[in-house]
Amino acid sequence: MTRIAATFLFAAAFVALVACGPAPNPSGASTNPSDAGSTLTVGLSAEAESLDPAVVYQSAGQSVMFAIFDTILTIAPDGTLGPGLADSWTIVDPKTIELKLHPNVRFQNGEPFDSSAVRASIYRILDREPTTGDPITDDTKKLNSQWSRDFGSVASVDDVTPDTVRIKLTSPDAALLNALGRTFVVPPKYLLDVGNQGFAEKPVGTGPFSFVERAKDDHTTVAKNATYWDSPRGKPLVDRVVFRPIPDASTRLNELVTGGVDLIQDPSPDQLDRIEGAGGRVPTMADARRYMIWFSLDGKGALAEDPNKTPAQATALEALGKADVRLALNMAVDRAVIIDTLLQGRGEKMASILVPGDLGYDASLSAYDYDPDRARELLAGAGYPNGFEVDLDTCTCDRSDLPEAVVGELAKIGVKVNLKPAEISQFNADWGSGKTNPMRAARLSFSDPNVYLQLWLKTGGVLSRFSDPEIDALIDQQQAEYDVEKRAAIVREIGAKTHDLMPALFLWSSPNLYGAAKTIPGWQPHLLGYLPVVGVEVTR
Amino acid sequence: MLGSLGRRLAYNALVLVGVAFIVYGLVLLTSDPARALLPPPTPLETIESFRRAHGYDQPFPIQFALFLSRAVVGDFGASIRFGEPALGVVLERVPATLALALTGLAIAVLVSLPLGVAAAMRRGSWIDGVARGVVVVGSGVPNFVVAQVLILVVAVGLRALPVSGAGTPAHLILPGLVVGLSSAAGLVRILRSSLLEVFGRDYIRTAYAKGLSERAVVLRHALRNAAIPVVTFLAFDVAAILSGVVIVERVFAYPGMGLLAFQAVTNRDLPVIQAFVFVSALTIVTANLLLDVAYALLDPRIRVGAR
Repeated sequence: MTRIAATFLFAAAFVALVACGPAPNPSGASTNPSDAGSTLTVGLSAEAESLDPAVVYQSAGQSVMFAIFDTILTIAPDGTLGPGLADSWTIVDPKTIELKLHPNVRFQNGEPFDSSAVRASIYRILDREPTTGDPITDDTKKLNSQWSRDFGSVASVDDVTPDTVRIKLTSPDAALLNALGRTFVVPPKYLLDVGNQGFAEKPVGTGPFSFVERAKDDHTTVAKNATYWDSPRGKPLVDRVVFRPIPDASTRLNELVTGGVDLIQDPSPDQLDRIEGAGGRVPTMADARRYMIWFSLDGKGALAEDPNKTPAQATALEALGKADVRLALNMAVDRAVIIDTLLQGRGEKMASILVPGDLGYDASLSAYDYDPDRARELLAGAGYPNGFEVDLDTCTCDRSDLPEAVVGELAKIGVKVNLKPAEISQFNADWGSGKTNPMRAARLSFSDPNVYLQLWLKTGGVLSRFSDPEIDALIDQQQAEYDVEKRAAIVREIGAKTHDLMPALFLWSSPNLYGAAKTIPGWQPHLLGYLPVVGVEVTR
Repeated sequence: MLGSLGRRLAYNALVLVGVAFIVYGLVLLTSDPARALLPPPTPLETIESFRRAHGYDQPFPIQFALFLSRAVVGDFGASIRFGEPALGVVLERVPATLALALTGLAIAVLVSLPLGVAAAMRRGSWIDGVARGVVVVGSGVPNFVVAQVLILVVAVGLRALPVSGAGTPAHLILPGLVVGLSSAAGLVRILRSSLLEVFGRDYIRTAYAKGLSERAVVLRHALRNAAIPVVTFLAFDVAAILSGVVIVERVFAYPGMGLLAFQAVTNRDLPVIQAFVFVSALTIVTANLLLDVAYALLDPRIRVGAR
């Protein structure tokens, strides 16, 4: 009897621990005094893929890169393009961009910054020799950088004088300016000395902080660059920044609440009140993370061209080809409810392929109304009174509850959707080679719309299952238009056209979330998604 | 003895090749590293040159043969993510994980030895109940839940220990407790039942009859005879600890082998996955070999190969 009682007591004690866990939280007296000087500690959601900026793609690693390196131009937190290591840029002719570089800038190792560094930094991403620009033939020396997709139009980069660079293009490319705002400048002489591998172990840039040390998966430390130039990005205000990869979202949040870190990315949305409870803030940034379900509409791709496709598949493709059916699908999903329940209210309904923060985003365009009755009428009018059946590709790398919720909504108007989840590499490979089902869910973000439009929307684009000659013409126009206002207007028109033509079932975009402790009252997020540390002051 | 040991070694080498084949095959057949790492906007020629650089353009049997011939000399190729030799990337994490595993094991033994003995001696008492509680919680509650609870109570609530990370002995305590608790659960259970069985033996009655104190009987006669199943359990527990640290290290952002393996799988870093599995399999195989030796030391009746 006593034994059972004791077992029960122990288990009860454990349950009590579980229950009262988060409660005892006396408004956080920070027990984290910095040793010498001020330290800003940042909790990232992942370890940087590398410390070589050419192969760092995720916002976690980009945060470290933006501390160590400067970019050729600068993108302000709100997305405005401005001077960076280049003081100005001139469109000499539609196929020539001239950059005037800032004088007397040095890399953290003392190497002077000049036009040869700009040239080497761009050629490097394209796997071309740093001085001649010839393609690198040795596969083991290539970086295979994803960023190369932004520089497809570059014919050559010429260092006219030490402080003048001319970029020659094969065709006009306004998107290149945005790409220059994300291109980190590396020191060519140092790179030649240490090689790619050595560079990734000890990176050197012109940025506000210089690299100190990295213990993989534990921390990367950078220290204030005392001789940082008068960059438009601002000044480094703390003596060092420690980036800590903390993959678990709850752990990241607990570190923030206990003062272990000052700033975190991606806190779990269900625990945001704990940040505010501890005196912190939850800054958000309208984000390009959009979620939608694309339709196969161009009559191409493996499935459309397959003579042996099932009658159901043929029906699905035929149905999606009708504008009324696409409208019905767009009216059948109660986006507001899904945003409120599954996204904790943090999301924006999408009205077109563009979302807040995009160039040319049109806030006056509103999402299709939720009206399942009208949707059923539209389906019946299009010849599908009993709905139809369709396969939907999803990636197992994304949340599965979101497409499931959409499937539930579509079932209510009689459209039976079969989810076809695929592992990420299969998902990507199938898409790249056109082996897609009639509907395909995708979440993606970008900072300049050009690559997105070219690949996803233009006739024949690698990922495009859509074709419209007017949109094709507009896509070419925006790429050639260097005037930002005019270009935005063209993109806005493309957005409006996609609203009408519905190449996709528009769902929602969700913002990036951050957690900032009260130690960094001035911290603000950046449209590019990385966590800026320059100009940030720590008060303890 | 030596012949038997040699046979065991050869058998274990075969086990390692089998493990390598399964993991290499499974990872490669279920996912394409080039496609996972370079999403669609990447130009096709970039994907092709990536494949050539890493040898993924070869047919599977050739890839596997090449892999095996290199793996024998410890060359698993360069980590896709870090660009450094994969084995080195894994081995540099071993000390951290070893520190965590040993802390966990020490906690497990320190908790379970007195608890198991006391529970067996005072069967049905309150201490037996506590032992049972440790067993229920330790084996019934998943370690990521235990980890979250400990973080919330000790690190967030009491502010007594750091939430996550590594570097000081204090960083080891919470993850060590999580690793230790699940091992302790098994240990207490085995120790208690094995002691109870020994207590019923004639030689224990004889020992009491000689007039030995209870303490002497338990420590000198019973515990030693009850140790064999416990040692067996510990050897097999190495595997459990290795798989447990993958989750524990992730929750505590502890930079050991487990976190590395977790991320290598997410990033399809095939060479690192290979090296990790190889090192893990080697550890388990070695633990089993040591187990055989320990048997012989503990019990003179068991002599490997002796008849």
